[in-house]
Amino acid sequence: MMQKGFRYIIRLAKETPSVSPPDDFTVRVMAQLPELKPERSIIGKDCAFCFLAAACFYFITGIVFIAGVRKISTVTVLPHWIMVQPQIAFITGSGFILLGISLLKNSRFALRTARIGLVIYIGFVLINGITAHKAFGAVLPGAAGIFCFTGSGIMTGGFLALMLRRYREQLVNSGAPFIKAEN
Amino acid sequence: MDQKQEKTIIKRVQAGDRDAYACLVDKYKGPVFNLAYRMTGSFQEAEDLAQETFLKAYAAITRFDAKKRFFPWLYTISLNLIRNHLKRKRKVSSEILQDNITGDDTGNPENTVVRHQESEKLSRCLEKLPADLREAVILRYYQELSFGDVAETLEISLSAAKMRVYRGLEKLRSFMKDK
Repeated sequence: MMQKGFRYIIRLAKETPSVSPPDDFTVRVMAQLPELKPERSIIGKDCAFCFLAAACFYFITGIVFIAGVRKISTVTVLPHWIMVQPQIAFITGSGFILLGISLLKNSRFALRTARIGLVIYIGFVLINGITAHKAFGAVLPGAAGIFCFTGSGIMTGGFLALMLRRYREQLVNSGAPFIKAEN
Repeated sequence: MDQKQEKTIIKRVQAGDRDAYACLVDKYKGPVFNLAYRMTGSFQEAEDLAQETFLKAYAAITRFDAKKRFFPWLYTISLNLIRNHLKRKRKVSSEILQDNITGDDTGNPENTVVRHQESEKLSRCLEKLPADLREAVILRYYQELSFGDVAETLEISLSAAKMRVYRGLEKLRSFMKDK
């Protein structure tokens, strides 16, 4: 049905002569095989470990924040957004734990969830950084702290995104009918 | 080489028999090379990409599930490499090396010339297509895969594969009219 209107193009395409690779193609491919090094494969476990490490980072940061907020709040009144940073760090850490555990399953759903979770995380890190900066003002120690925290959050996100990308590529290469190709 | 023999060869390669891989290269070098050639329009680039495809496939073959069919897996690797290459290159070369064309030229010489001219025109139009539509059309009509195999290779649904092919043909038709 669909082909009726395109019969001429289809016929031309089918009649187009094929091209042949050089005669020594196979020999050349085979000659290069010994030079290959075995690939270091990234599996779900590796990704899960990185996500759990990121969770640890946020839990430790949360504990540091609790101590810091308590100490500073005795001297001065802190903006609400700064006061809730420990909770935000713990929630982020919990999110990473969930994503890390799901990645252990090596499933299509887990990889997709981790990718979506990571996009939300990076977006949130940026929003949090901007909001905290606005709440805290341009006071130097505070601004520098927010900058470092936001920067480390983005770097963490970037590193995890890279891991997920390599993991996905390896799954595609392993023949698993995994995820839609990105064009 | 039938499916059963192919699976045996793949298992041998996976077990460490490197020489057995030559049988797989021999069997698929033509289709993989043609796919790369139609996508890039350049003989040299097609050769490099086809070689890279086989090297990459060899490096990953231990993780290939031997219960599955080999060629959609190989094509997927090839297409990923081609896509990355086109992204890097952006501009596709329009070089056509007639010397390497090995089609059947028997029959009426006039018809053959017209057919070659039309085929060339189609090839030029094909190069104007967006990469996702181009690969769908090439797989379906140049490589003569079924829609199911096109969908499997591109890792999209059957309806999405049909839609891509249809959109590709539609664009090709309008490019052909413009020329």
